[in-house]
Amino acid sequence: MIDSCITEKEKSHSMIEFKNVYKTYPNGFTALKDINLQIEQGEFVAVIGLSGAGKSTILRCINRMHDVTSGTLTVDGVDVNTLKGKELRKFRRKVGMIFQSFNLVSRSTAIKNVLTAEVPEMNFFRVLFGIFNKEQKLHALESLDKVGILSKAYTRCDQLSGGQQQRVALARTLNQNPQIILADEPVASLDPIMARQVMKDFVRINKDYNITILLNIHHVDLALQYCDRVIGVREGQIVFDGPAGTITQEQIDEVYNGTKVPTLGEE
Amino acid sequence: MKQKEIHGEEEQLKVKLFDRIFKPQVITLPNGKTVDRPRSRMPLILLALILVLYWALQMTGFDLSVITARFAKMLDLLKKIFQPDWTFFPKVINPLLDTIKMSILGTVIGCLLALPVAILSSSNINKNVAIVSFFRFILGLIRTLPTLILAQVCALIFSLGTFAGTVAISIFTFGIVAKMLFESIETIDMGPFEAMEALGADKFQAFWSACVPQILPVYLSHSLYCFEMNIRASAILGYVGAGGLGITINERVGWRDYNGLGMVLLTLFVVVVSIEFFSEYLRKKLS
Ligand SMILES: Nc1ncnc2c1ncn2[C@@H]1O[C@H](COP(=O)(O)OP(=O)(O)OP(=O)(O)O)[C@@H](O)[C@H]1O
Ligand SMILES: [Mg+2]
Repeated sequence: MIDSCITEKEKSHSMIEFKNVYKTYPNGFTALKDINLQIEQGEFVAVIGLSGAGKSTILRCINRMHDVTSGTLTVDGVDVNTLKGKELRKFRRKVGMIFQSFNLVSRSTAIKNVLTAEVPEMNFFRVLFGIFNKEQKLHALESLDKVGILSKAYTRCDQLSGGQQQRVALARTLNQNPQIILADEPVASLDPIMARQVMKDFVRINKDYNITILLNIHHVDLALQYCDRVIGVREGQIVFDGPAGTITQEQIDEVYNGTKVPTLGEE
Repeated sequence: MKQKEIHGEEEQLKVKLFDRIFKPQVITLPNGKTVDRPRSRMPLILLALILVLYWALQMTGFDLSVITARFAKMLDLLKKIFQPDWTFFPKVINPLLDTIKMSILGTVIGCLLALPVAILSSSNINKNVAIVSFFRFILGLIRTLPTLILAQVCALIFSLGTFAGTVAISIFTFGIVAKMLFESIETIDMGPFEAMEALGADKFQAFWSACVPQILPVYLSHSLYCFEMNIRASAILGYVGAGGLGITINERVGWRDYNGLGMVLLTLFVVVVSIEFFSEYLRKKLS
């Protein structure tokens, strides 16, 4: 609460800011070229683009799962590239990540998976013996409740449907009280109905808790329907950036086929 | 992409070598399209198998007439074994307990040592290639030693008795369990590990919360399986002086007391089967 008040007053920095960011992988492939981007607190942004366009790379640079090669990337006023070791891990506490394949320990129960979000703040012996206190357990159950699967708390994750598993993953992320959620194709392995349900969960979380959400998605229709803003990426460059309502069919074609030189880079 | 293409070409070349000799069968569809059906490799493999078998028979001097000639003797011996001398039972108990103790302790020690080494030998967790290959080499070395020889060496070093047997079983268990375990660890899902790192856990925390829950059931299952093997193996270790039932077996054979031998074998049979049942039940629960 206090945090959000301060950012409200200061207005000095965006939540996420890319300035001339380049990313070259160790094998010499340049996946991001001159990315400039500002995302404000509480925005719900979809990143669209072909396979290999660089969508995942953008997300993974934000929580420093990958390093940027040049340019600056600031998150909540902090230059991500300067973070190391303990500071980096502390920074990651406030950036949640959701994966296409859920990345849950499938033979553990839902609540156990959600509780792992507490692990970074626990001492060695508690981690070693997996001792969680009552408060933590209650908190985890609350997180499960927020995504509507409280009743599955003590079910093993491999007995849950894909949509339910993605919700457990979402609950795990909520359990770390993040300011930002990065979701890498969160609905790609779900059927259309479940995909919509999970998208609605994201919308609700975005609105209710004012968490900034950035998600990669291949379904343009879902992106347009549920997100506020769309960013189109092609071959490592941003070729569209604007409110979801304003994107035209030609602009979408441009993101995906790229027959013309893009002109919509900046706003 | 490129790599895949090159790989594909290579494969095609290999295929061609075989198919050049044995021309593929051409199947023509009603619409005129054709598809090549490569010749089966099965006859060639069968031929190789038969040759190897023939060679093995020649080498071992396997002779059916010997079996028929000694058949009566074998029957006589079997008859005695199947009429166990029940009065001998009290003398079986102590060595039997020795055998079981040896296997339990040996299994526990071996498995405890195997866990850290298996983790260090898993290439998905330990990125240091030198350490991985070092431990794998050691494990390979241990597994080439036959258990009986291991026990004999231990008996020479630690003098005769159950202690030598326990050490032998520990080493044997260590080699097997570590090998099976690191192969299982390499197939675990590293997704949860990545998720843990993304939410701010350090490497140890991520490993402990994301990988250990996946490894633990496999580890216990491998350990139980090895325990089954050890009960059987340790019965024989006494043969080379490493304590337990083997000594009694050796002794009975020496005395030509086949009824007594029958008693020993019957007890062993009952124990082995019940332990296997129990362990199988536990392993099913774990999976
Ligand atoms: N670790 C890596 N090393 C080298 N190149 C990589 C690596 N990861 C990704 N790339 C390359 O960078 C480019 C962008 O990859 P990225 O994963 O960001 O694409 P994406 O837009 O997320 O695609 P998809 O929709 O298939 O997930 C691709 O061409 C990919 O081959
Ligand atoms: Mg991707």
